[in-house]
Amino acid sequence: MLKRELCLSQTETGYRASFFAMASDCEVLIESDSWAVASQIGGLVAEEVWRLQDKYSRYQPESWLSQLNQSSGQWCSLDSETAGLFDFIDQIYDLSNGLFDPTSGILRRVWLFDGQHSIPDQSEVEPLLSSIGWREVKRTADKIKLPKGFELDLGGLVKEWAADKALAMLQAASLNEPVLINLGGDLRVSGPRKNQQPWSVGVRDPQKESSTVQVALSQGGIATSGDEHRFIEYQGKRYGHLLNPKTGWPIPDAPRSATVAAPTCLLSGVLSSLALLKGGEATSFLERQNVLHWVQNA
Amino acid sequence: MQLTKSNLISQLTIASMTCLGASGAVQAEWEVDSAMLIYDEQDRVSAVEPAISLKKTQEDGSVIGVKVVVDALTGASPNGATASDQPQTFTRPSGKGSYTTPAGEIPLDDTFKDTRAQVSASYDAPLASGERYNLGLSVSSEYDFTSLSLNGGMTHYFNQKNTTLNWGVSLTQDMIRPVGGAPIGSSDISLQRKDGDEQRTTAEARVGISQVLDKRSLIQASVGLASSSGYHTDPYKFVSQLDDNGRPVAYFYENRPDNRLKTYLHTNYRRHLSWGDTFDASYRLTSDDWGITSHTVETKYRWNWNEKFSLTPKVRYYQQTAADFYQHHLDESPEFGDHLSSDSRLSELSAFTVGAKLAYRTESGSEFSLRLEQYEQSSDDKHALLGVQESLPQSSDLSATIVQFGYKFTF
Repeated sequence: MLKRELCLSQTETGYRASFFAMASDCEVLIESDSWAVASQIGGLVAEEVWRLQDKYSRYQPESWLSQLNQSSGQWCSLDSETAGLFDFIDQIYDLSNGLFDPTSGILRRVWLFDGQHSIPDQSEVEPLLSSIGWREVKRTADKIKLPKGFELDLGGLVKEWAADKALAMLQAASLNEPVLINLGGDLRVSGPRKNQQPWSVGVRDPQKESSTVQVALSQGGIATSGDEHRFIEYQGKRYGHLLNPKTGWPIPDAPRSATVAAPTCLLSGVLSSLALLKGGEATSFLERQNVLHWVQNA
Repeated sequence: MQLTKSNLISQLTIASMTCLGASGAVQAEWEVDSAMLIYDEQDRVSAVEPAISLKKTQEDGSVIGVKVVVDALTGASPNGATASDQPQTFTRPSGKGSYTTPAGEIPLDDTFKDTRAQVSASYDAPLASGERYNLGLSVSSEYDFTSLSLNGGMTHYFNQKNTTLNWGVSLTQDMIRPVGGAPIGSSDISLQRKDGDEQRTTAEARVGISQVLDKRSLIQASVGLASSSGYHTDPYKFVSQLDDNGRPVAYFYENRPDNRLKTYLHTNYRRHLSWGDTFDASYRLTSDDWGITSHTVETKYRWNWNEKFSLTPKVRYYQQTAADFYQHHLDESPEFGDHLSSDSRLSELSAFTVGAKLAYRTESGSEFSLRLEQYEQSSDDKHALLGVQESLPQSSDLSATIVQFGYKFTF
């Protein structure tokens, strides 16, 4: 594991705390003159994000999620924090007609998107479909059971959720200095800046390669779903990395990525994920939601 | 697909409240701190004290707290009389029955097997201006004593919250109903002269400041003043009158002043060390108009073995001067002023406490702890002891063991 370090440096209007978590470079911009306050805020945010990483990472064998994924059909403990998240996933699952499914990560066993130049055979995809289905996951108030062979992947939500939770933690500690929490591009602001102006956030311009548009953000969060670099080009056809849990195949015409600004980072993340699952309808879906969005089409 | 619904954002906002909490704040949970303390004085009093406190931070930033402590006391405590080389017999405070102390032992009154219950509630909330205010109420009751206390205060922040100023006031009313009535102070106990119930009122004010020195260290200082008026005497304590050989000839009821003015100064320094441990040192000075001045020095070191286990050893040294009216005993031609007591707690003494707390934190954030402490108190009374007293035990020498089990969790 990487060494957990928090770096604090001075900026024009305060401090910048940076750390590495959830496979991303993370930073907190803090508008405070006090080094002690800034380090307290940076420390609280980093600790909270690391805590959620330690709990929900698929890559850390000690995490609660890894233990659950290795439980082979046994009941496991479920705390109220996770139960709250799963209740929320229930709703997104229903709203997306089952396309947003945290059990579908298992398809990556055959869809590697690591530069491969072939696509899997239907006979490889088919057997995996029986290990997918959020509704097959059994829950009580404090216990959870994954059917044998199932795996959960919360990678699509945890980073966004962590940004919101870290901000909530600061508010609970009455630390009301203006902050911007940026977890590898998924970000959340506490409100306007000290001078009552919005934060200026750069978002990759979908129209022009390698340029950004500046977005004025005085509340809420921004999140991006999708990865423009992950696709398979096979026999002249492009296969995006977003997979349909029902067929096991990539969603046709899905954009490479979608960036959304919404009242919380978690909502931004959910809306951008849902947009990608709409395939070619992504842009019109986001337009109907009346949110600021940037869609990079394939 | 149902996703065409235009109110998706509001639907999702409501749905996400379960995991984000309304308005993005943390979910309000009760933090529970429960403990069972066992206090055991060698050959004297034993106490079992279960305590539970609940605290909840609400979405508006206010904190409500409730605490209940029950104290069940068994055993006997010194009645103030000196030991003798002969058996001594005392009438019980109720006037009914008596108890006899064997030769060579400190007279202990075993009448009271008492239970005390205390309930307190507090509310601490932010103001729009950024300060916080707090209010509290506490009620305590035991068989011969009822106490009601109200308090309130404010916390102000300066200098980017690096400096905190807090102040508070409290008012306490005690009602004392001694078994058999309150004795007439300084009178011979054989006269059995008793009054009825008594009262005591205490007003207190304190002001404190805490300053963040750097990222890892904090210093705090506070001063306080408490003025009490009313009944301060312990209605069950005697003073022995000794002859030239140090043997008792008579006993008098103790008698304390009706007023007491106490002041204190407390300072504390805490440092979080770079490797994760915490060092804490504090000093407390108290002084009152009875002539008692005390010094307390305490240091603690929290040693975090890993994320789950921590060990906190501590040492504490306490020293006080005697009250002006303290007398170990009266001699054959007693000369004393208006006030008189031989309660060892008012004598010149020093005490040393050594202890450690072992804590285990679970993954869900609950904490189990075990605290062990040994308290050793000894008399610093420089007065030459009379006759047989020299070889007899003194009540100000005391050993006590404290064991506490704690469990903290949230729900």
